[in-house]
Amino acid sequence: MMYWIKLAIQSALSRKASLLIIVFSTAISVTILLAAFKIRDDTKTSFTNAISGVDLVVGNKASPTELILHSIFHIGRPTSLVPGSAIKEIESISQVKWLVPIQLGDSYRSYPVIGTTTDFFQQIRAQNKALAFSSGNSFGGGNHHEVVLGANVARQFKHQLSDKITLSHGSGIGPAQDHTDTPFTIAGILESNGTPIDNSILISTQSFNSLHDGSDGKVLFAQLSNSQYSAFFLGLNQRSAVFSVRRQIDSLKSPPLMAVMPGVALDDLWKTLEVAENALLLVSVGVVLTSILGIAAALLISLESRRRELATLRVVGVKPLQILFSIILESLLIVTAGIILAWIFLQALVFIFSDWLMKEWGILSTVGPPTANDLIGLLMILIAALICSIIPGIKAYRLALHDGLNPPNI
Amino acid sequence: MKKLLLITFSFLALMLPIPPSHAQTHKEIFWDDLIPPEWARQTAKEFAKFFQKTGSMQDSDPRIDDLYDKLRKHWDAAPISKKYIGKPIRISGYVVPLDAERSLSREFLLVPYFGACIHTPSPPANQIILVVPPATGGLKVRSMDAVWVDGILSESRVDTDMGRSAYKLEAIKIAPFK
Repeated sequence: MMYWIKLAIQSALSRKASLLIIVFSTAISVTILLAAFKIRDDTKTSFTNAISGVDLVVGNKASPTELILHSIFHIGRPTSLVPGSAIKEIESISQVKWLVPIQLGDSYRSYPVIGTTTDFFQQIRAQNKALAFSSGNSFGGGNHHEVVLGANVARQFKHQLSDKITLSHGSGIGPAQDHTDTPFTIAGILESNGTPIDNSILISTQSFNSLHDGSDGKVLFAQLSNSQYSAFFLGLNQRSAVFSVRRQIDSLKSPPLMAVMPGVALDDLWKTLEVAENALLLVSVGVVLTSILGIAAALLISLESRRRELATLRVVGVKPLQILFSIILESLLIVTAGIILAWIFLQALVFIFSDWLMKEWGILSTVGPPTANDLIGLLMILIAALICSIIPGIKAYRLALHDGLNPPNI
Repeated sequence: MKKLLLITFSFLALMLPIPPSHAQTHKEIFWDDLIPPEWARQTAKEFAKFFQKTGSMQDSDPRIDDLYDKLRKHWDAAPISKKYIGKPIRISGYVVPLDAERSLSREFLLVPYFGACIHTPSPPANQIILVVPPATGGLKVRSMDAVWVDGILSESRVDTDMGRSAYKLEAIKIAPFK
């Protein structure tokens, strides 16, 4: 066996240039396939590991998907704001156990700022575990202007406890958008939990309001009047009462509100995304098939230049079947080299782009071992390469038989 | 030789289909079994007089809305039947997911008909079961999947002024409906 691998390598080395190109083209197409797999998986888990424990998300009457995407995943544009008077109405519904307000719209270096209450840390769960602080504590109430950072934000900017930071209005792009006169002190840093909370900055609703109504220094951005909210997260006494509570909220006359079940809305969203997901997969499978056919074609062509080599092998006593075997072995080696190279490419890509993916799309992508899906994909590529290499292999078998020592066209 | 035979036979014995241990113990029940019969009789009697009148009404009639509201309140306060509480049961239904996460451990509601609570009026309170997946992980379920759930039916009580009981099913096994 070792002998055969050695021979195949030696033979391949004598045709370095053309083989190198084949290896690279294989590597690039396998990279595309693996990247498609990875993007699909990572997007899925990013949407999968959202918050749990919230029974209903309440907002103004609008698109449920938009409300969920904005309030839970901080993606997309904000829906209209709910006046603070709604809190009383909602809390008067007997099955409602707790209510956590969510205010959005500000940012810190393009990471979203959430205005909420300390209940957020008690009630919201991530992957079925309560939120935990890696250091520090929850923000204090009143006008203390304290923040709690998500794990990624703290890591990204190397922030420590009691550092002072300045938040920006809106997305923070453009001049004079900073709330410079109200610096915030970091009171706590959360443990990483793989949810959008990792990428957020949490402040109290009082701080959020004072940023916008100008009660703290000059009037900066008065667009948000006192206590308006983007959404409310609700928890119920009994989860099975969710339909009843939803109907009661939906039928509130003033303000007209909408209650969305996060699980149902997310599943609907995912059903829509599946089309795009499958299209992406189909394209990458096409790319890999093309590449494997390319390998077969290249091997077929290179046979012409290998007539002498093969004839010589026959002379020294190599059987035709062994020549077939060596051709197949060569193509497998090429594809294996391509796959290894592709894996290195992919890890490099993930390493370079993970921060950007996190910031721009909220997708958590990490360097890691191949998943079961990856391995199945790679195995399929190897099998396809094996089948494809049988064609040039059989041709070589025939050539070896026919040509013997007298290649006709030399 | 004897030894070989012995090994072969013991392997054969292992390969015999083993009856699933829960199949006998979990009694298959139907959604109607979850409705207390007295409540059903009383509801029918109470609302029968209304329904006689509604025959001549238009859909847009405000009295229809009133009646619907009344029926809803009645349904939301529907009591549970104690018959199967604490007993191992097996029931099929449709999934309404609760949390915005898609793990194996996410809790969901089991309802008796497709589209329930999303496009159509939600069922009475005693036709909704909160399913808690087993700790080792259940089935990856999605909105409106049809599933079989095996588990112990229990009563979840909340002590508030409007406190009423609801069904909760501690699942042992969740399987796709076939």
